[in-house]
Amino acid sequence: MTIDNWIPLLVVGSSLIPGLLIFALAESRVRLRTTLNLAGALLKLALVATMLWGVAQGHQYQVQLAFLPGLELGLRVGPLALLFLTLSSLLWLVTTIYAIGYLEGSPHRSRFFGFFSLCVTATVGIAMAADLLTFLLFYELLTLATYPLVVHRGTEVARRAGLVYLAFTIGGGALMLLGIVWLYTLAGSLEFRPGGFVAGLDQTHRTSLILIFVLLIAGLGVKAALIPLHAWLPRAMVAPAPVSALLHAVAVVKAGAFGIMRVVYEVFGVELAADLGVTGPLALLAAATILYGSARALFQDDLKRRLAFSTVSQVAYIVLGVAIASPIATVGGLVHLVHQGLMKITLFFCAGNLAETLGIHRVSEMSGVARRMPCTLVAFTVAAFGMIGVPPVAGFITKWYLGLGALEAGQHWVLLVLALSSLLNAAYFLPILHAAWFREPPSTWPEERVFGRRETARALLWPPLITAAAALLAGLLASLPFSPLEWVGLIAEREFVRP
Amino acid sequence: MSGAIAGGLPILAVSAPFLVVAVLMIPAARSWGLRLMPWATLPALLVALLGPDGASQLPGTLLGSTLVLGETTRLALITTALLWLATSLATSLALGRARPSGREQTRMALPGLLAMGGGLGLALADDGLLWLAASTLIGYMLYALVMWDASPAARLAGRRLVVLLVLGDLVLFELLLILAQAADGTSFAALRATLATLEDPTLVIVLMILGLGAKAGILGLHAWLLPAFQSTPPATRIALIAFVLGAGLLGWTRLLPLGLVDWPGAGMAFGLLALITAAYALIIGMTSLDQGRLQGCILMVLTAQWLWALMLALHRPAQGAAIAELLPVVALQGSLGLAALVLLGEGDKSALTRQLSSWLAALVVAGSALPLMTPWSGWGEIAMTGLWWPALVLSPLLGRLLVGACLGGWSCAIGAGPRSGLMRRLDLTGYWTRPHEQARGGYRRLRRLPLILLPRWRDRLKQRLAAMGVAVMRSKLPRSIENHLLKWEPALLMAALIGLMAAWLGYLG
Repeated sequence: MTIDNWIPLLVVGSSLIPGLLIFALAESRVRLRTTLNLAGALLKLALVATMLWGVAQGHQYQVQLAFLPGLELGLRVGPLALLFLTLSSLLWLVTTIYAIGYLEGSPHRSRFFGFFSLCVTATVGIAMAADLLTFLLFYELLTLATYPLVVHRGTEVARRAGLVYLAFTIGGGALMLLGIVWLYTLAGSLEFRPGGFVAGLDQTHRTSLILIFVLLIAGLGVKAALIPLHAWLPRAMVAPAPVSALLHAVAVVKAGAFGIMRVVYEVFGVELAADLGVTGPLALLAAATILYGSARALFQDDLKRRLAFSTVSQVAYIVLGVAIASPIATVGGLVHLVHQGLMKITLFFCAGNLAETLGIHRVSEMSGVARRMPCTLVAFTVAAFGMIGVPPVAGFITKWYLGLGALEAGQHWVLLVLALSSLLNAAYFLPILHAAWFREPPSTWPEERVFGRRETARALLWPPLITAAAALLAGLLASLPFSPLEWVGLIAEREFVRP
Repeated sequence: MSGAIAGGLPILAVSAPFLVVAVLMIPAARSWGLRLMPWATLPALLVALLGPDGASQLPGTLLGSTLVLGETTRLALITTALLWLATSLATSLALGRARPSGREQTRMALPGLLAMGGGLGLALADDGLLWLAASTLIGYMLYALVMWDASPAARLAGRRLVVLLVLGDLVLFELLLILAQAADGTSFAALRATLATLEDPTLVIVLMILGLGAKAGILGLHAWLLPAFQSTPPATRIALIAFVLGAGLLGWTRLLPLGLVDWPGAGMAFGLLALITAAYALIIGMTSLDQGRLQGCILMVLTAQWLWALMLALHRPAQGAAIAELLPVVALQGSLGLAALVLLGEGDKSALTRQLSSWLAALVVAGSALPLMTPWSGWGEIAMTGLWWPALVLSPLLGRLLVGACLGGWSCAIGAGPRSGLMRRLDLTGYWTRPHEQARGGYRRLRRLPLILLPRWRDRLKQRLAAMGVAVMRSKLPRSIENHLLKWEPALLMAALIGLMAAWLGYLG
């Protein structure tokens, strides 16, 4: 094995090993736990940066490990894998810093950070999976690692939410397993390939392929929160803010959307998927999810629930970009994987800050809060504008490419969906901003904690500011080398846009 | 001047306000930032006046953006920079008077500076996406500026503004998407070239009217404009003028291939919109007592004038290029004039405001002669007419605004003279206010002073003229005419306007 084979394994190990060590630590070993967390996150980031440079030069990192007779587990890092990998590594570091500040003094921190690390291990495994089987293994590991985080508070509501989460995700996993086994019996391979690996089967197994596609999308659609499989997501909001951020921006929903991408592009191939007639219904489902999620968000007073329904809507943009099946829309969908992550993690960090510092959980409690926490609200404002699609924040670039792609593919109805969705996004975000910035603050806040002259603890304040700045720069400097858009252009060029 | 420095000048012009924002964000340097705030637009003004023509690529920005300093953008930049200079000076004075805490000052200064950056970006942007980004930045920051005044009227204006901003931006987004997809690029040159090849421009024109019209305040999409002017301080009102000009009016000239297309249908739509917008502004302006609202009406007439010029350009392609050249001059003249009137009507006693008002008023007077030059400048007869009929609509509104502003007495209005005597006896309020409003203090409200500083002998002359005016106005006949006019003036003016338009349309054939 060369160093290139080792690097993907090291990426997995950089969170797996610290995670296992943290489980064994006593609650009082705060400094060691923090060191392990940050060292793992920084090491992972350094490894990913190395691969980023290598892959930009045309290099590929891969490793195969024996699993069962005739079956191997594989990790491979190409441009698409690296996109998700970079996102999850970067945001893991930021979320870890935030979580350290957020959970300061609370019980069960070793358990929390242990599962937190496992969760990221599963996510990077999903990103680097070279075949459907490896993908499924990490996908299920993700389910198991996130369940304890969802129920971390240990309340009755949390336990119920955890059960719903488990029921949905395990059910989804089972559907996926069925689809994968069926596909293996037909194709004899599960290895992801640009252009898909089942292209030769279209004439003889058309109906089977359509059913397999439905099974795989249903399995992945649970985590991607496509309607009607989204019900677990708003319930899972009982989890602490760093977990919500992780679920919505880095790990779970992204894993589902990323999986759908892989199924369309690297299992079936865009051409076969279009020929089977499955991309059209998928686009319609995504469009319906976009509008439904936004409409439901409009009526939520609980801030995190509003953000959760917003996630339902926003993640469906990624699926829509994939389902439109044009190169430009592909760019829009892929880049939203990163853009939505940056914006949504910012929003959840800010929601966490409001809850931890002032005890604010509801939109109706946010009047005048910008006077008390201006920096947090600046970050929230930037991210909210991005979600609406206001230029130059990252969300605008996504919508621009989705719109152009839809026009290119002759699917003009998508423009209407984008317009309606933006309108709904504005309708549920702007009243929050209006109340926060321009209404008079109350004489007292629900549960105020004072942090000297600062509005909140440093560990809680910097992460949202950093991610908000990143969301702004990802849009404003979209054509800089190594920007998410440029990277996605490279992916589209290498893997999907074929003459 | 080397090419690199020349290329960097537009970037310097646009980035100066953002640099001041950065300074304000550093607590230790906050006081420096506040001192720099009024002058953040000066680099833009200097670049506009002294910088050579050139384009600056903004590396990595959006999908590849460029700032251009050229013949048209230079005038737009001068106008924008002057408007923002007036805004920031007025804001600084207001902050100086109110003396809020440092943090509060920063909170008030930031939206203004960001809006200024957006405004300067609008003037120089050479591609649709950067232009849209600048337009949304200035739009939302103005929303913040409008909302600072927590009065119910300001809240109403803010709510309406933000709703129309969202809708307008959405429509512009779709418009740019459609054009960019066909043009395979987002530069204004590419977008205009694509538009010029369209066989049926109906959809694009409708989107343009809705998207830009919401920001320009054309009738039907103007709901934010009058309450905003009514409820905001002068500094914000001047910023609103800059917004209407940059994000609304200049957008049309950036996108429409004037001189290259013969679209009589679209031209007729613009003409119709111009007429009804002007008529509405006239009626509302003549029946309104609020100075701010009246200024908003005047701005709507300027919008109507702009639409009329577009109608002419689309009707007569041969004149299109000349009109496109003329419009930035119209923008400079109209917007600065109105800004001066906003400052004049305020009656601020600080020396700096007085000086500023005086200089701007002088600029308006000098600029008012510009349309007279049109026959000799090759802009042509049609262009000249396009300028003159709105002037006819504007004159009663301007007259009303000025009288309202000066009503405290010419003696004071013109500067140094004593307040007593003539002012008390000047009974023009019978004409300009309704009786019940006089009772509520309308008279006092209208005692706003233009504060133009003039040498003593001219003040005396003005006082003498004012005394003569009072003597005439207090006689029986003028009072009787005034009372009748009070009832019938909007109708008479409307009839005159419609007659003029009918004659003009008949002339066009």
